[in-house]
Amino acid sequence: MLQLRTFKRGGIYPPHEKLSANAKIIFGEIPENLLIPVNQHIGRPLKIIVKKGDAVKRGDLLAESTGFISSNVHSPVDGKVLKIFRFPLLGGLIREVIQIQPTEPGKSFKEVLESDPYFEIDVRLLTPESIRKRIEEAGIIGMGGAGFPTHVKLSPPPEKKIDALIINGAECEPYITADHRVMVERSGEIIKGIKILQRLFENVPVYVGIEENKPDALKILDEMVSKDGDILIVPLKAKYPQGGEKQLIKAVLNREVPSKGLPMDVGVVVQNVATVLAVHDAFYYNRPLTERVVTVSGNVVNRPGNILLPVGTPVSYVVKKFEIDAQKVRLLIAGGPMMGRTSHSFESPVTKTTSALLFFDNRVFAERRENPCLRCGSCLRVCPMGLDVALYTQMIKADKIAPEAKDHIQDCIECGSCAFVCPADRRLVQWMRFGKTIIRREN
Amino acid sequence: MFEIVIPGLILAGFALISASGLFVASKKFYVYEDPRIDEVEELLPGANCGGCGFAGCRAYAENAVNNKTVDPPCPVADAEAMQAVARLLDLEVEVKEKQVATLLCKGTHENSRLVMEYYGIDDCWAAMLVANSLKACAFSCLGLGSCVRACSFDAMLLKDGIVVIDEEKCTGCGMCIHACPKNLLFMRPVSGQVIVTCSNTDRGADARKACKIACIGCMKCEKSCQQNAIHVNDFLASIDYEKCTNCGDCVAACPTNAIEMRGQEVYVTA
Repeated sequence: MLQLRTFKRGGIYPPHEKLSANAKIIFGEIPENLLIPVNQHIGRPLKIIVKKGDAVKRGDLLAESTGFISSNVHSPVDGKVLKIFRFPLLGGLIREVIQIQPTEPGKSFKEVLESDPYFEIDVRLLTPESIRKRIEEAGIIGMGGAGFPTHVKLSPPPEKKIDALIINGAECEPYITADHRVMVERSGEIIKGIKILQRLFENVPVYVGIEENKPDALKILDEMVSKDGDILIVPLKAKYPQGGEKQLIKAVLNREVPSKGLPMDVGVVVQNVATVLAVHDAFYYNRPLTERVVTVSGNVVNRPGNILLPVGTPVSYVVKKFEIDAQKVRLLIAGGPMMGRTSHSFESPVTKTTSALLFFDNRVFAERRENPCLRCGSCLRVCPMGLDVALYTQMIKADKIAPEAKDHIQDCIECGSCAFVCPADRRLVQWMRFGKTIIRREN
Repeated sequence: MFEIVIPGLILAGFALISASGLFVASKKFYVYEDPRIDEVEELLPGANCGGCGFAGCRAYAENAVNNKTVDPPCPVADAEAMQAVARLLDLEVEVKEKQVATLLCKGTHENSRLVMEYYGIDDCWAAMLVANSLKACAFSCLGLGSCVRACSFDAMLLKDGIVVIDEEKCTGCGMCIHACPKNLLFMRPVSGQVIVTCSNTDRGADARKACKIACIGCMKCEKSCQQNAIHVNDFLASIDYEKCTNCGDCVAACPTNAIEMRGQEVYVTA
């Protein structure tokens, strides 16, 4: 057995709870109405180009980007634009959504996907410009959770020499298995997607980082690339946050991204496996990013699973499909339990970055007050960025952030390791995020 | 005998040297300061609230005397005090009516029900990171009291999920206005008794669903007003206090009680 690679500083070992690891990705039906959020990415807000009453086809542009750091949104189904209004998204933030009434509700989404024509393309004939352009048009954003437009990440300035491409299949959050199932079931397509990305950077080695708790994914991908010299599967220790971009680079290449820096500063580009799959679909099926695999799990769900959902599907559809007792649900989390956001509405839609929907009841949800800091230092030991979280939260609370602490607060990756170990139940992540907004307001 | 006298003399000598040193220094490094600065500071309220934009009352007095200006006037001082300051500096001051902070929301727990439970940090700005609103209405007061903590005069308190303002204690310094992440507070002249206590710009049906007393943009108030002082924009009425005569026609016309008439007596809900 190879020595498992990992990052050195901090980190925690939460229970894996990958309940749906062996559940095949299922396909749902087209729901009765879709609420498609306009801004699902990080960057400039989009311009809506449809209006009430317009008929749209699958793949039609609904809102177009207004700049370089921006990403298109397309319609996943044929239908009619019913309304454009403001609605709470998963996480509680109220944003603009486009409501679409599909022409064929109840039709299997598998049929819809199968009706997309397949194009056999020769990767060697693609130019880097055409690849970037296609990815931009298809509205592909980082599907690991942050939602940064992929074409921007793939366009480093010429002075930054890229010498490694890392594909992130770590999936270190408990419960989530969406990327895991994608790697097992659609491994061939991921390899094809990697081949497309390889065209952007000449002769660059590709590393696929996968945590050791996914042995089937490791085995399948290892067999697929064994005849291929320039793709390397890297087994990683199952440790949180192994899938954090900076931690992954440290684990795989032993390079440290500088404070306030980007992976490209150390010559690396990191892409999530789901994003790579979206790139594959954009080229081979000419499909814009309009659907994603979502893990449905939690202790209220009797049969946890993974489902391919069109973007804009309301959570209520999932509740019905998985026969979840809505009365019992006390806590709905969009994303993983560590970094995901709790949500209050079953009508909120799934977005391009929703990797999981977790339903929990009273047994998991505990109402706990925030207590004073005990100065135990647990948060310092587990912080993967090496931050003095306890001190910074005191500064933020007193509204007296020392100038030298500002950069450190902005280095926080909001992984939640500190809050996980805090014996005083302090809302450390929220304090750090609050601190970031204070600093942003000052500038 | 000498044991007492010698130390006494030594100490007296030190005292003399130090005193002369201090005397020379106070003459040599003397900085002239306008005595009026002290006088002006004396006349100001001394709350050091920062409502004028200066660091405190002393800083305001220095600016007033050195630059010969009372613009902007102290928002807290009453007309008499401000005129006294102006007289002292041979200036004219336009006496403005006292302004009070007003909350444009009546989304109490009874009117706009809570749709989620919030266990995070007790601060409106921090809550805004998690959710835009904790209640059914997206525009409602979060009720976590960032403005209450910004108030130096103990004029605000939380009640039933919204902020109530004691208009007698409110000095109109305006520090709470910027403490609100949802822009629900504004300053109105104290004589303006009619207030549209809503900030919901949704369409009527949606607004009504969100809150019992929401402004639904029905235009009845606009039609009832003879002074042309109330206007509906984006399904939300707003009052022009320069024209409003406190006649109360709009209050009577409003079907949802979104317009409120404050009585002659001071509105205190403490």
